[in-house]
Parts: sequence; C-alpha cells; structure tokens
Amino acid sequence: LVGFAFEGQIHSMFSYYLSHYFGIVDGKLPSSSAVVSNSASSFSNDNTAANSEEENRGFLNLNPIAAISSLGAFGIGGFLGYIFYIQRKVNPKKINENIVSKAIWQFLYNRWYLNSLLYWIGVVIQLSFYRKIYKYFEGMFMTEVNPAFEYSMIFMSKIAKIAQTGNIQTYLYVFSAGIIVIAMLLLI
Amino acid sequence: MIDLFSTPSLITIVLGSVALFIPVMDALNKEKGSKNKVYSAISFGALALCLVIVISRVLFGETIPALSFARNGVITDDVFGAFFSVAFIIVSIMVTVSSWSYMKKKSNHAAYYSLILLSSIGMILIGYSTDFVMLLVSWELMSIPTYALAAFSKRDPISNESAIKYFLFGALSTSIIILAMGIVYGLTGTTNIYDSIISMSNLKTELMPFALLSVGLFIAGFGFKMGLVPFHMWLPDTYSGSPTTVATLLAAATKKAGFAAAIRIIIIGLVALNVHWSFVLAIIAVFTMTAGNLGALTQKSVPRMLAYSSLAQAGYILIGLAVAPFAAAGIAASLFHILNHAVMISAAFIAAAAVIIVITGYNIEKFKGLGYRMPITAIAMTIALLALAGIPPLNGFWSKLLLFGSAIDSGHQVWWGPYLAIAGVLNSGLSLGYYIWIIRKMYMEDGENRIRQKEPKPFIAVLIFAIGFMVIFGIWYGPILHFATMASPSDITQLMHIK
Repeated sequence: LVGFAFEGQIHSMFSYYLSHYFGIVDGKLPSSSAVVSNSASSFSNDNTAANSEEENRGFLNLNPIAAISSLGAFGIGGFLGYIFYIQRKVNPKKINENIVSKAIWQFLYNRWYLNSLLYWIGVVIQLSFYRKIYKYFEGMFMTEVNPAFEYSMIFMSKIAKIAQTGNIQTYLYVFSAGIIVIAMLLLI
Repeated sequence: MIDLFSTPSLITIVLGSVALFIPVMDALNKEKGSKNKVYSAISFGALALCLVIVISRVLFGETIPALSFARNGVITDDVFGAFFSVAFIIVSIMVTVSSWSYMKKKSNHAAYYSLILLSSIGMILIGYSTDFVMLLVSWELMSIPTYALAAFSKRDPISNESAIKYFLFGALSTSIIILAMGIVYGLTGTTNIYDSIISMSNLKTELMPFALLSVGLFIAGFGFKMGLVPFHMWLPDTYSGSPTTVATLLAAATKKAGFAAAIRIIIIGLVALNVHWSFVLAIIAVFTMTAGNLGALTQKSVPRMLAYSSLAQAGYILIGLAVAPFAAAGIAASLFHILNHAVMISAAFIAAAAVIIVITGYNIEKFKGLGYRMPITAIAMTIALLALAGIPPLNGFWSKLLLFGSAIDSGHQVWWGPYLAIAGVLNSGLSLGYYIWIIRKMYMEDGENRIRQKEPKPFIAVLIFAIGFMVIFGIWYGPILHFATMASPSDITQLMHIK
C-alpha cells in the first residue's frame, strides 16, 4: 500500500529512464529518425506524458485512494496495538469470546485463507480428479481391456498355428485356392 | 553375345570354378580327416573376391545406373543386379563362415560348400537376368541346390520332411512360372523381358485376360519363394526343419531372389498392362505381415519363430512394391529393407545356430540366462531382434520408416495408402511381443547355470560383423539408402507411357 501511494513518483522515474536512455515514450519504440540525446531539452520533451499524468495526481504526487488505505490500515493496527499492549485497557483474550471478532481475527491470522484456497484449488481438487482418472482408466481400461487385447491376439495366433497342419495336401489346397483368388482379383 | 568381363559373368566364372573345384579336390584327396576348414576358407575367399568385384564396379561407375533391360542379351550389368548381388554375397559369406563350426561334426563338407556357391550363382544371375529363359535357368540353379541343402541332415526325419515339402512346392512353383512364361511367349513371341513388356502394353483387348492370367501365375510362382500369403505354408516347416545355417540362406537370400525376379517382371509388367494391381499387392502385404506376426507370437521354437518373422518382413517389403506407382521412393524403400533384412535375419538365425550347437536346444526355454552363458551371442540376438522390430537407431528403423512413409505419401493418390502404413506400424508393434519375449528370456530369467560357455569363434566373427553392420548403418544409413535409390527405377510411372 505504501508502494501504491508513491506510484506516481515511481512511474515518473521509470518514464524518464526509458525515454532518456531508450527513447521509449508512452510505450512506443522510437522511429528511425529519432535520436536519443542526453540533453535537458530531450528530458523535458520526453517527460510530457509523465507530466500530464502528474497533473492529475494530488499532493506530493500521491494516489489519494492508496494513501488513505495505507494510512488507514496503519492507523487501525497502531490503535489496536496501543490499546491491547501499551495501555492494556482491553484483554486480547476477549477477542475469542465474541464470535464476530474471533472470526475476523482468524481470517486475518490465516492470511485471508489464501493458502488454504490455493491448496484446495491446486492440490485437493486436482488430486481427486487424477485419482478418478486412475480408477476408471488405469483400473478399468488398462486392467480389463488390455488383457482382452492380449487374449485376442493369442487366440488368433493359436488359430494361425492350427492352420499350419503340417499336412502337405492342405498346403497344396491353400496354394491352389490362392492362385484362383489372385487371378479373380486381377480379372475382376 | 555375353560379355565375359561383365560383373555377372565374372561372378559366375569365379564362383562356378570354385564350386566345381571343391568336390574335385575332395575326390582327389586321399587323406582321411575333415577338410571343413579348408573348403570353408576357399568358399569365403571366392565370395569375398566377388564382393570386391561388384562393389568396385559400382563405385567406379562401370555398371549401368538404375534398372535396365538388355535388348540383345540375356543379362545386363546394372546397379539393380549389383545391389542384389551384394546382399546375396554378404549372406553367403555369413553362412559359409558360420558353417566352419556348424558343419564340424557333420559329413559331406565338399558337397555342402559347393551347393552354397552354386545356389549363390543362381541368385545373383536372377538379379541380372533380362530374359525369361535365363531367369528360369537361374531360378532352378538357385533352387535345386537348396533342396539338397534342406535335406543335409539326412538322418534327421524332420529335415527330410522339410526338404520334401520344400522340393514339392518348389517344383510346383517352377512349373507355374514356366506356364506363365509360356503364356507370355505365346502372346508376345519373345522371351526378352523388355520386348515382352512393350508388346503386352500394346496387346489387343481380347487377349488381355491371358496376360492377366500370366501375371497372376507369376505372382503365385514368385510368391512361393517370397513367402507371400497364401503361398507361404511350406515356409515355417522348411526353415525350422532345415539345418539352421541353411535356413539362414533360405530366409535371407533365396527369399530376396524372389523379390528380385518379382520387381523385374511383375511390377514392370503390371505397369505396362495398366492394371489395378497395387490394391491386390497391398491386400497380400497386409495378410502376409499379419499371418507372420500372429504365427510367431506363441511359438516355442526359436527357428520357427524366426521363420514366421521373416514371413512378416516379406509383407513389409511388399508395401513398397504395392505403392511403387504412387510414391517415388516405393521401390527404393523395398530395396533398402531387403538389404537390411538380409543381414538382420542372418544374424538372428546364426545366433540361434550358435545356441543350438553350444547348448543343444532350440526351444525358447534354452535361451534362459543366455546373457550370462553366451554374452556375445545374446547381444547379437538382441540387436538383431530390435533391428527387425524397427527400433532406432538400428538399420531396420530407417528402412521401415521409408516403407511406411512411402505408403503415407501415396495417400494423395490412393485411399488405402495410409491404412497400409497403419497396418505396418501395428504389425511392427505386434512383432515386439515375441522379439522382446526372447530378449527377456536371455537377460531377465535365470538358466540352468551361469557358467560361461565357449562361443565358437567363427560365429563370434560373423555376429560381430552383423552387429557392426546394424549399428553403423543404423546411425549412418546414407550409403545404403543411396545404393538402393541408385538401384531402383528412376520413375516407374514413366513406364505407364510406354503405350
């Protein structure tokens, strides 16, 4: 928030750097005729875009919303710290007695539950998805369909072995049938 | 007239000479005792020399770029053939070196290595063939030695049964291919592949059903070797019943030879016929990869599991061929995956072979605690399986990425392109079900003991090479991708304008 408060200052610093050393103004690359010079006049010209933005800024080029948010958070935290731990007017343990304050405390303590959210989205949901894939693909398809393919190939192989009778008359019959089939395929 | 100094001719001369020399040397050898190491070393030397010839010719620009057809010959010296030659020779080298230990206690070493070399010649010539008759002869040269190799454990009834099934289906598929070639010859009057494609593109309407029938028969015939559904039934039995090093050759090399022939004939021919064949290939690709992965899922035998896995990988490769007319990188992606898969599946099978030799068992329970007992084999198996699954930064990831990317790219022309990519990705995930299962057994379960077993050095050498290939070309995939791009037709859709 402090950084956002001084966003305008940081913006003008980088704008000057880019325009002065690379000739980049408003995110556009310089044309071939543009010459980047290290003079005060080029500095003042290149900073026109930054200057126009600075005109819209408030006191000390601060972003008012960011400045108020930052100072407000500072103030709230400082006030609570002063009450609880310096003046000791309120016992911190009383936070747990009120449901609302306890909920707020836990929300802040668990860093807005961001870690838990990321864990659920990135780990838990994906793991359950992959486990389902494993169960239905690996478990069903690979375990049941793969053997079916294997047994069918072995079955066809056994048929091929049975066809190889060793009987020469069978071989001659197949040979003759083959000639007839080839001749028919060519003639038709 | 065949140029004797062309790459396929030189390879045929070198490998053919050694393949014929080894049995003669064995017959003339009067000393008793195993010459397994000698024959393995001679075969390795011949294959290494051929690899140097192929790579140097490509690097020095002495091969025809991309895929070409010879109008006045039966073979052509192009980068497409060189690409497949590199894949076949690398696999053959890995098989030959690992056989140094695998064949130690077995007999007929000379015949074994000779048959591997002869089959390699056949595979390599398939990649270079531009004539139907040459393709057929190469196909048979590749297949017949592998029939004998599949039955090499002649006292093992499972090996004999697998070889019989392989032989019967091989003979059936060859007869279907010959029938298809006969139909094409009857329609076009030529056995030259390019001339027949030109003729078929200008075919009369009433003859079109015969042309389509021939294409269907080609798909069936080559699909047998590629392991496409529904022509795949023999594959798991044969790969699991054969000696594991022979299964490596079948899974990593002969399967790719089927793709080499398929790309030259089926894809190019179907483009000329302007038939909606892509959807048929896409359906076959989806069924193939799904059947392969489902079949492997509950297997207890590791070689059988890898056999089904190679079935699934063929489905992935077919994705690139299915989207070839609609995606610029379709065929390049398939070629990229062909070379990567050749090394990956070879490493996996050879690691399984090492376990079979040392621990004498191929059940997946035998792989428990392998990380302690055979650490290098376990690491190689782990890297190979992860590369097959397409885990970065291994080489399999990049080729699968390109395959599925091509399928998605084709989506702006055909509605089923992205769905094909989805099927590929789902199947890749499904494949992890059994790849990771093996890795778990090796590292996370305890075996009978934690005693470190002696891993045979030839296996270690091959597996370390494979690990280096998969890791280095997983990080630095540029050279292989560039090689695959060079080997693929520059624009398959240009063939649509032959008419």
